[in-house]
Formats: sequence, structure tokens, C-alpha cells
Amino acid sequence: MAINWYKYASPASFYTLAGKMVPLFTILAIGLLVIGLYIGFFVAPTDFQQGEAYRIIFIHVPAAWMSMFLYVVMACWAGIGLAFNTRLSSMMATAIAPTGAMFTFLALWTGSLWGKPMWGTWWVWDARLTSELILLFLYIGFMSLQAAIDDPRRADKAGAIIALVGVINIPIIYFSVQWWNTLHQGASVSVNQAPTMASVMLTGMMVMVLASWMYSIAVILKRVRIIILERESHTAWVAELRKKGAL
Amino acid sequence: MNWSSWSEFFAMGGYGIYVWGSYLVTLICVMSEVLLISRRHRTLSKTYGLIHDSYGKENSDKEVLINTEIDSLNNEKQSVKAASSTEEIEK
Amino acid sequence: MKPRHKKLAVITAGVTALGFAAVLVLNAFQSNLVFFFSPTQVIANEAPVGKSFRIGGLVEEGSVSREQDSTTVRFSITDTAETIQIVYTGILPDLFREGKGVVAQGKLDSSGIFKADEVLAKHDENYMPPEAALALEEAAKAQRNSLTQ
Repeated sequence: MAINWYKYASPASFYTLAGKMVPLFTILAIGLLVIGLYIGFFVAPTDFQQGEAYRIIFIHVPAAWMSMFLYVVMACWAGIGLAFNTRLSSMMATAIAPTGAMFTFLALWTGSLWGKPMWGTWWVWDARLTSELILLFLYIGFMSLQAAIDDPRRADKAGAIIALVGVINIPIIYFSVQWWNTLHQGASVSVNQAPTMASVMLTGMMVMVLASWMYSIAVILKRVRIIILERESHTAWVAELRKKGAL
Repeated sequence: MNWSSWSEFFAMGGYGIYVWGSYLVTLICVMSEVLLISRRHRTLSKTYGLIHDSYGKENSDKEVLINTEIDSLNNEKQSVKAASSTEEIEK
Repeated sequence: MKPRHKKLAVITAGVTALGFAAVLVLNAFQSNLVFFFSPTQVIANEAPVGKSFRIGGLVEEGSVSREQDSTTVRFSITDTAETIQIVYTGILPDLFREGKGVVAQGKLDSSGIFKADEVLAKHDENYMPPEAALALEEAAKAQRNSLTQ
């Protein structure tokens, strides 16, 4: 069956499609979250160095990964919107930002609560922590710039520029632990080597990563639907939806 | 099974504050994000729906009522806009 | 608040956030990208002289000694090539252990002893149950024994 992808590039049909996807991803997110937390707290054993404190990893790592990944996705959509002047792409970027910022905040927060008992400090200005903090400011900068400009199309363009410039920060965050001496340890899971985590712990963490993916997709789709409605309120298809009482 | 009792579970080997502090704040963030989004959606659809209902009614003595309704809706819309932008700043 | 004022406030917040981010970047590039120096670098005089800096390495096995009735600790840290003695008064982090990584902040005194104001633990990226760690340790010991025999 051939799917006409161009059809979904229009806000009207994407609105309907996204509406169908939100419940699906919500259920997946909740299911994976329950499994992940169960493995994390009841199946995964205690750690040889860090005792029970290491269980923060089950939210810290998913949050940190999502914070970087969502930024890249946001910048891609913003860039596509800027280059091809497609309304929907820019709306996607706008919808991703708050969720990305939330995950960045959580990565910093949980990291701080983890650093205090293990390292002996809430915060250090090492390259990993500093670059992650800069990521939070990039998200906040993107959102406040968009909020400050009344014309949505101009807001999209201005936001896209911040988003694209800020992408440089992502490899800096990722490789900071290799490029510089940092207090933060190296990656436990990476592409080119075997994970340095016991497999049960790793499974729990990966399930939590999947859960946060599903959560992000559900929340972002839900938000983009609202943004579509707000921005397309003058169009015929929204009027049609209103008439049907389908909002 | 890692825990022999609930109190042991909550103590987290002495790291309870740090572990539960992380999970609790995560829960609060996720819940408020979901709540803010559904509130934004509810107010939006309510606003749209009500305006639609007021159109096409020809009863003239209801007109005044409808007009005030629309006025109050417009005010509401502005406050919604303000609320949603503060939501974004907070995030 | 008038919309115009709100807009101004939001722009100010945005610019402040970006400005703050820029300051952080510059600050990080200037001084903190080298978060710590290794003992070898310190011996080679690469670390700042007369200024507070951080030194990082492994706590040498058997070097930790606590002074009676005080929280003063003496230990050596090594990068396997060079070793530096450290004196520290205060509470050590939970993960401070012999053979494990630490980062200490402080100054070198004239006799070459590092006086630390802060000691942080730098742990590795390995996560495993205690039994597995024990098994690994024993396997390593067995291998060492078979090599020496």
C-alpha cells in the first residue's frame, strides 16, 4: 500500500493522524514505564560501588539522552521550516522545545542529586555539566524568542536560527567526557564498544529510555495539535471541525 | 527481590533522599506537563465550541447575552494566551 | 501588564538567558575545560603556580592515613607514572576509596605537598552487582598468580 506522505505535510491531515497516534503512544509509554520501574527497583541488583544510589540512572540517562536527541530533532524541523517554508515543520519545532527543556532540567536535577552523595558535590563546572546547562539555556532562549515575536512566521524564522546555531553544543556535550578531563565519568553505553553495565541494569535503563521516547512522542503530538488549531483557526478546515463539534 | 521490607525500600540504603528526590521531581515535571497541555487543549476547544454555538441563533433578546459571552471569552482567550506563554517560559 | 511590556520583559529574559549562556561558554573555555591536572602534569610544572587548581588521579593503595582525633587525612594520588601527596581536612565523599579516582582542589605548598580544600570522588562508568565485581577481582588475582608462577 502506497502512502501519500505529502498528504501528511498539510496541517489538516496531520492533525487527524496525530490525533490517532496520541493514545497509542500514551499506552506504550505507560506500559514501558511500569516495566522499566519494576526492573529498575525490583529486578536490577544493587551496584558494587554506588549501592542503591545508582538507581537514579534509570531516569538520569533517559532524561539526558532525550534532552540531546530532542534538540537535534527540534533543530531539524526548524531548519526544514526555514529552508522550505513549511508551516508544519516549524510547528513541530515549537512543540518539541518545552519537552526538551523539561528533560534537560531533569538531567541536571537528577545529576545533581546523584553527584552529591557519590562525587561529594551538587555541581562542578566541568565540561559535561556546563555544556548540558548551556543546552537548557538554548531551549529557554528558543522558547522566549518565539514567545516574544507576535507574528508566528517571523517567530519561526528567528527560533530556527537559535536552534541551528545551538546544534554545535550537542557533540560538545556528547564528547566532552572524551575531549577534556571531566569529573563526570565516560559513557557506559556507546556505539563502538560493549556496554560496561550488568545486563539486567542495562535492560532496565533501556526500557526507561524507550518509555521516555514514547512519552515524548505522545506529548509532542498532543502539543502540536493544539498549536495547529491555534495557528490555523482562520482556515476552512478548522471551521469545519468546529461545526462538527470535533474539537 | 532486593528488599526485605518497605522501610528498606524507602531507605534506599541510606540514599533515599537522593533517589526519591530525583523520582519525585521527575513525576511532578511529567504530571504538570501533561496537565498544562490538556488544560490548554480544553480551554481552546471550549472557546471555539461556544463561539460556534452562539452563531446562527436568531433570538434577538439573546443577542446581548451572546455578545457579553463573546466578550468574556475574548478576555479568557487573552488570559489563556498569557498562561500558555508563561507555561513555555517556565519550561 | 500591557502586551508591549510583556513582550519587552520576555525579550529581556531571552537576551539575559543567551548572554548568561555565552558567559558560561567563555568561562568554561577559558579555565574549566582543563578540569583537573594529572600528577605527571603537575611534576612537569604544567599546573598553575601559586594558584588554586585541581589535581586528579587514583588514590594509591595503602597510602591513606587518618590523623587521630581530627578529620585530617593524608594520602597519595597517582597516575601510575608520578605520585603526589595530599593533605585534606574535611568529610570525604562516600566513594573515596583506595585504588579509585579522586579530584582534589587546592594549592601546592613549598614542600610539594598538595593542600586540598575539597576532595571529590571520580567514579568509573562500570555498573554491576557486588558478586560480579568480586568474581572479576578474583579472576584478576588468579591471573596475576598464574603469571607470576
